[in-house]
Amino acid sequence: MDDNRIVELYWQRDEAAITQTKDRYGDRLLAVAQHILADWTESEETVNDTYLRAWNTMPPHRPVHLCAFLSKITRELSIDRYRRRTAEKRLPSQYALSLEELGDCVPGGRQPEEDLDVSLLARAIGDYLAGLAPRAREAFVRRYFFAESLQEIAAQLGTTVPWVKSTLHRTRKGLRTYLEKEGYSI
Amino acid sequence: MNREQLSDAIGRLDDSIIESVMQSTRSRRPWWYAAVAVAACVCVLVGCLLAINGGGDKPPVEPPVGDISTTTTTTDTTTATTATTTTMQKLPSRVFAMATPDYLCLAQNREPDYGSDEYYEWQEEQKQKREQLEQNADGMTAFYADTMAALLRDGTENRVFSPLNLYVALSMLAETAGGDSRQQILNFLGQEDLAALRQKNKVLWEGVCRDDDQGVCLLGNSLWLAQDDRAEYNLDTLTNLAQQYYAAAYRGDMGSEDYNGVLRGWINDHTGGLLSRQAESVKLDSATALALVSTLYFRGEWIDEFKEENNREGVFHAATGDVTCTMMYQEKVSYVYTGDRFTATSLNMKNGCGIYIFLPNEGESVASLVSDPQVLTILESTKTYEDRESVNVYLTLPKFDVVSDMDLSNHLTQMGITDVFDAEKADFTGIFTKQSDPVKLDHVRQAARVTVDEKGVTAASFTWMEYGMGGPIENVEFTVDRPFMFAIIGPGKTILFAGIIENPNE
Repeated sequence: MDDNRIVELYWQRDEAAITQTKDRYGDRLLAVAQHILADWTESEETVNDTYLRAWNTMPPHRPVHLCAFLSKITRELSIDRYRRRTAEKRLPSQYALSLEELGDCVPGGRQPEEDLDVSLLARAIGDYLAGLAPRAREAFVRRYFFAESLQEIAAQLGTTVPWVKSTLHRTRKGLRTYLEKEGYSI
Repeated sequence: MNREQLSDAIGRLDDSIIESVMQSTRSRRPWWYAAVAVAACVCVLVGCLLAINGGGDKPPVEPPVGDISTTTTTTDTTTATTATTTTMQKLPSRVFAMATPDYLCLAQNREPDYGSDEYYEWQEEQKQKREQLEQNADGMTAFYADTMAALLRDGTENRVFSPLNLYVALSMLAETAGGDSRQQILNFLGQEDLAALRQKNKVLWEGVCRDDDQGVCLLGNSLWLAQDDRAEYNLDTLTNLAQQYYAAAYRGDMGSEDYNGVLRGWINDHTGGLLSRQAESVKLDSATALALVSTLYFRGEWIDEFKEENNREGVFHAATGDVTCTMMYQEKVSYVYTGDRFTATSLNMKNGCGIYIFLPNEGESVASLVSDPQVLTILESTKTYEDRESVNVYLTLPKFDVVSDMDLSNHLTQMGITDVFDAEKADFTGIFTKQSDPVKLDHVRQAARVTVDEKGVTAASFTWMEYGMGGPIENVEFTVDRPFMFAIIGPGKTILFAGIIENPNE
């Protein structure tokens, strides 16, 4: 069943929407959660929560890209769970590693947190990514959105781990410079 | 701004950017086309077959790959390189990577600049890892002795296997088992409980894994899960395997070509492509409920390389008759160990590892050495072996490239691991919370390859040993011109590979 049809099922309040979503995207969403949480039980729970939120969101929402829409929900819910864990219980997941790396992108200086509009920041990052070579952009999204491992990214791009590593490094540096130019520092 | 806010913003990227990544499709050639040099080993526990209809009408099942039990010495120059520096395999759309550890992150042993603060911290860290490995050696000696005796003693052809690889694979098997099935494995591994086993494996991973200019030694584990609902997996066990054993996990349609392709690709990626021929026969079929794969890949260069110009054709007195093969030659100061039935020497590699060559005395059988207590003493601790002396060794050693592919099921059964092979007794409650039909281990197989040439050998990290010299030294000819035994020793006296060469040309 294609995405439009599944979205239609949500709008019709037909519970088959959940079954169809699970069949089509269940494993993919489980992988997203597992990369962030590194815990199978919590990952499965998070994916179930994703279905629930999707059910509560459609309608009124009508996503054009269902997979991206669901992935965002899973990612957000997984990160919420990750943050609720105490420091000792935070497992060394790929998300934890990728978060460490993002430290390279944080511009110098401090910006008061209340002044930061995350949506605007997301747009700025999107603009920066739009100017990148497609492979570099894909590597960035896979690493920092999906929290995929370097090996997985290398596999998806048909390249080597060192290539991924150095490309991500350059992209992070470039993003930092871009954000500084955009005024994301004091 | 902080990292978390940046991460949140990335989470709000436009859907079209996310979607474009998800739909990205690219094709590529398998990376091992361009592979270069080394040796590796893969131990595959493919199985836990579900008998459809409770053992009634079973679907046709392919002959188990474990039926293969061959050993050959290859003459090709297949070469390989570490997976992390080669192009990786792309996943088809119906196969999902649930966990894929970056093994390189576990092997960050690169030596910092000498004299820097980091260097001394690194040196201390390495020392602690070596000490931990040695302190955690309980049970390993008996395991080495038992497996070498069982797997190397009988046969007329070359044979090689990796004790360390088998140990790690059986540890994972123990995690998936329950009750008596698990206890039998724990007994064989010499561990009291899972906690001790996990600790042992953690120390092994952290102590052995290495990837730097001096050499490579990488362990790899993976789980291959089914997408259908005939079985449900214990999520706690999956989490444990991911965290304690760094096991990658994949989900896909059992029996599909796509899934089998990813499985073979994973094996090739983690064995440097050296065992691609053996990997071809590894497959998950529609009756497979779960498969575990454990790999060991490694490379080391001699401290003192053999010079190619010193090579010469020489006679090797194989049991089946004299053969001519390429002999390498070098002179070096080294220890020679004398036993009642053998003479032995060692060659050291830049990564601190070593290979021991055991040459049986004239008239002695090489097979008898595998359970010789003096051999085990040397492998366990050369320093405590009394009958050794530092001499000038004129070493003549055949080049060899040996591949083994062994079915280990019968060997393991003989060594006391029986229940997991019996559908009525097998207890896999460690991994399955629900199963539609009885589950048993279908087969256990190990393929291994060791290449020794002028540049180096398959090897692993080892506690670096300083060879002291004192007083006048004697010259000794050490000509390896008849069947011999070898063992490659990694850090903490781990035996990475052991084998017997009956004929270097086979």
